Amino acid sequence: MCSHLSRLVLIGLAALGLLLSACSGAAPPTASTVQTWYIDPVRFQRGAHAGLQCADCHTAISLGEMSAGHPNPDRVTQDAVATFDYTACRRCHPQEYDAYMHGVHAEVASGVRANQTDNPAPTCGHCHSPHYNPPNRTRAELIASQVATCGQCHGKATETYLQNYHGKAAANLGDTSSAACTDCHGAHTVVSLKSADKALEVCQTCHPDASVNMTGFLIHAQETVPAPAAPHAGESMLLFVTKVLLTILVVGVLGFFYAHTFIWFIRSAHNRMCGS
Amino acid sequence: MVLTMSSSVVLPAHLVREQLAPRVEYWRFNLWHRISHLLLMISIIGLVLSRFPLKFSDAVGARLFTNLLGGVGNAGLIHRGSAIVLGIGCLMNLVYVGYLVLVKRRSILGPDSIVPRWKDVTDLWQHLHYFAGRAERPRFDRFTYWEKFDYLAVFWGMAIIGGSGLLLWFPTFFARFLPGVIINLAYMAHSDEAMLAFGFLIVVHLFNTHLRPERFPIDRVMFTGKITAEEWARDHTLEWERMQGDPERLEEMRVH
Repeated sequence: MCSHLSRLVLIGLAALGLLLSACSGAAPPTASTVQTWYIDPVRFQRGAHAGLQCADCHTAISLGEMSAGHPNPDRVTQDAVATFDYTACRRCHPQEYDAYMHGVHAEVASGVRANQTDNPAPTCGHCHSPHYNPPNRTRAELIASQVATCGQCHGKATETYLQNYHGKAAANLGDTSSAACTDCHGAHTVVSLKSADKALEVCQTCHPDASVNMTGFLIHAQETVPAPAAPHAGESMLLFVTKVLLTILVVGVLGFFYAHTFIWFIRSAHNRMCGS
Repeated sequence: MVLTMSSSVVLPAHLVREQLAPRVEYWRFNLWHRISHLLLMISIIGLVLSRFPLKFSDAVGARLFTNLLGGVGNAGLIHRGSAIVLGIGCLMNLVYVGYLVLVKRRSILGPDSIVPRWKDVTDLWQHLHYFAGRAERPRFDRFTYWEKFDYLAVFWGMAIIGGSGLLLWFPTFFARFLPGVIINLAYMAHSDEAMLAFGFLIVVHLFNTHLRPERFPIDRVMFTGKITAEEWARDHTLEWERMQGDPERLEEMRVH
């Protein structure tokens, strides 16, 4: 009997472990390893760059005659998105290009910052699809696309953002007055907001009377046991402990009263049927 | 005459007798109690409905329901408006308690008070034994232990959910003298405690007062304020028996 029970408990724990690992183990998707060189003309004609000629951006080639070095069979084996010469974008989008060059993504791309993962350093093409991005997107559409785009590399940040009021309201419920990724981090500068001064400036765009303490509110809060060196390890631990205590309280109180209600119902039904 | 005859054909004899006998009713809750309960009930329904789709914002239909409420911003207005109504309901009760204690000079520690006593613990224990068929049903006083819990849980909820709600309503104000992480804590506590309150009300409170077979489908006493002599004697036996020793007060409480 006892061994039967302990086996049941073990199976239950194993199932719970599987469930938990399935829920938390979703790794952020890395850039696709399969690349296609085919450009769908129908989708291209619906995109924002529909009016452009290939050679407007692909300056190394010119239509009609093959320029020197094109086609180059070596290019086929290279990562097209990572190695494309994006100075071509600058001709029409100079502000965005310059903002990018002063931003964190460019620092990573140029090797100033050590790239901590094997994700390729983000270039224009990693976030924007020059062939297919639709034109004139609404703010709601942009918010939805940001969550998907940024989430490719910043999976944890996207996940925590979506547990926060801003993310729930903006991304899940389509509230366009709530902040999405680029509203705080900037579209092309993509600044990290670890410094309180920078963060405060950003908070104040929507909350003009915010004080510096306000920047201690963690938008990307982790409610798990933090690594000792992780940023905001103290706060994460505090949130984790609070979460555990609250869960014990909720499960304890509801568990007790649900059981109380259930056996009361059994007693009442029994009295009814047996007429006592 | 025809009416009586026809109903005696349809209804069993004891129900006819019950219908013909004059119903003796007493006041259990006054108008003030009933209004504050009604305010609590309506406001909590408003609070839950307006923010449920935010808590489960990725659920199917959350967006549709939010749009029906007029968007996230409007749902927030409904939520905070309901919170004010809830606050008024609770304040009404505090005013009443103040009136009882300061004007009527009533002790809040007596047997007919809603303040818990040791007897509530033994009542709970005996009730559990009664469920198991091993004891008599406990004889309750004016308020049973679960009614006391229902009542005090509102104060617990007002402290934690109301307090954290205020913090979330005015985050920049509170962040002027509190660390910012308090907003994270408030968000967490608000959400979890609200789920506890909702989970409690929708199952335990609803069952204990309305859905259990003796009461089904609804117990009107909190809405009409009136309790019949039979119900009083059965459900609040000790108070009923004590009242028998004070016929004047009993007559005062009778519904005329």
